[in-house]
Amino acid sequence: MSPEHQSILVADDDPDIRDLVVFKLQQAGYEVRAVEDGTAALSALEDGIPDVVVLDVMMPGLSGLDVLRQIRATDRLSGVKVVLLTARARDTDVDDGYNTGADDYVTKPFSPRELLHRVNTLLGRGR
Amino acid sequence: MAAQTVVSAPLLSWVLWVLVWAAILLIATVLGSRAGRLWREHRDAQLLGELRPAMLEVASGEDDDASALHRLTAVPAHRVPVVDRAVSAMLSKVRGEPARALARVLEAHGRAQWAIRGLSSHSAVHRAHAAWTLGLMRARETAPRLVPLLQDRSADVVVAAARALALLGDGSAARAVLRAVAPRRRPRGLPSWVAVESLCAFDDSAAPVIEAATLHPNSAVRHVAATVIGARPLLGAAPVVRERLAEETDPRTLAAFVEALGRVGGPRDLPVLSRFARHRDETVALAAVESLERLGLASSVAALAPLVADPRPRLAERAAVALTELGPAGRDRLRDVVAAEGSAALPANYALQLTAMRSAGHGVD
Repeated sequence: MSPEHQSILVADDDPDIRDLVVFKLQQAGYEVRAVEDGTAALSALEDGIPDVVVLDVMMPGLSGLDVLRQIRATDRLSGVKVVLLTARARDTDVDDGYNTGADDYVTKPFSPRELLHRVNTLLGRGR
Repeated sequence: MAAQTVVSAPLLSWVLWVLVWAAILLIATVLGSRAGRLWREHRDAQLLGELRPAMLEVASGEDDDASALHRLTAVPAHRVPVVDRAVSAMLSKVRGEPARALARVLEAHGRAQWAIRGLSSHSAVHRAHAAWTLGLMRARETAPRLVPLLQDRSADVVVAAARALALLGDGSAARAVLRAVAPRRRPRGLPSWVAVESLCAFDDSAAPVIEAATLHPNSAVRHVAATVIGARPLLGAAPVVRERLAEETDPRTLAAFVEALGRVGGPRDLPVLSRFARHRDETVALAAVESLERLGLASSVAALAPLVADPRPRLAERAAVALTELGPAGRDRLRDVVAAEGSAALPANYALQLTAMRSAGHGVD
């Protein structure tokens, strides 16, 4: 499937990071939607199922891990890949992320190029 | 007889007028400053709005021909402060080549010179801001100028300098960071977690200094060194950690060494960790249980199993959870404990249920 037909949902309360991730992924040809918190992310998932969700962990209201739990508990979202993008870099935080069902874990400060590679890999686009 | 105070009507009226005018002036000042701030934010947003695509292009690493970088560096003087604020904010969020490109924007605007001058400012806020700016710019050659700030009279400046040095990654500052944890002239040192964060970010030249700090007379410094050895991890420091375990008297630091051994040690450390898992200080015992789990050896099961019956509930639960992480052998041992229905059945059952919840759908038995 070409990247134009693959969609990504980005949820981050930091407008700089949100805009940056959207810009990078759009440049790579993905359809990208962005929201600013966990509740809005769940609403966006009602509107359409993306191929990948890039989730910040620490957001006001519902955290990224809360959203991830909801995604993993919902059958129709079983095919959605989730990348956690977070400043929480301790081993235990990474373990929590993967144990909750994340497919990948990227820590901030981050390399936009590396994030794109990770998303490409999850979607089978390789390098 | 009580003295009677007489206030004339004109004086009272004058005082009231002064109070009313003072109140009006105060309200006008507050509203004026708020309006001014909103206007500045609006103006900054407008100024930045036109340049934001260029900043995103640079920050995302998509500026192959450096045209976006040129647009940011060539802004008129009145836009420079707005652009620099936005670039500094973005710099703290990205790493790699995009961070270096953003730093070039600040360099072109003379921020490095501004920051170097600011390090000796009378204002602690300016000194901290200047130090942080040099860190954000990854101006590694300025590390020697930041080191003296680790002994600054302001705690905020000390923290800013340590975090800036972490961004520079220059291991030659390790000794100064450790010294800041236990300063001679100030009552409070650099917070341990900031020191650990910095020392973990330094290059390998910091390793010998960190190892040597495990012998420091101050337990806070030894604690930081032990934590860093485990967190980096410094695999070559395993012999040092083994030696210190026999000598350490401070329980909190001992726990840090025990935890570090779980990260830098190996199978030969199983007996000593098993002994520490029965330590009378619960923090030390918990650290040993975690280390036994981290080593991930099948033989750890025998060391952890008796601890599920420990009278300290937290330790018993932690040992049971560690057993679940050691594969089928650990979980089978817990099932035996549950079947025996003794006092250890409660933590064993808790750990098995926790595993079942976590592994739902992941195919773990």
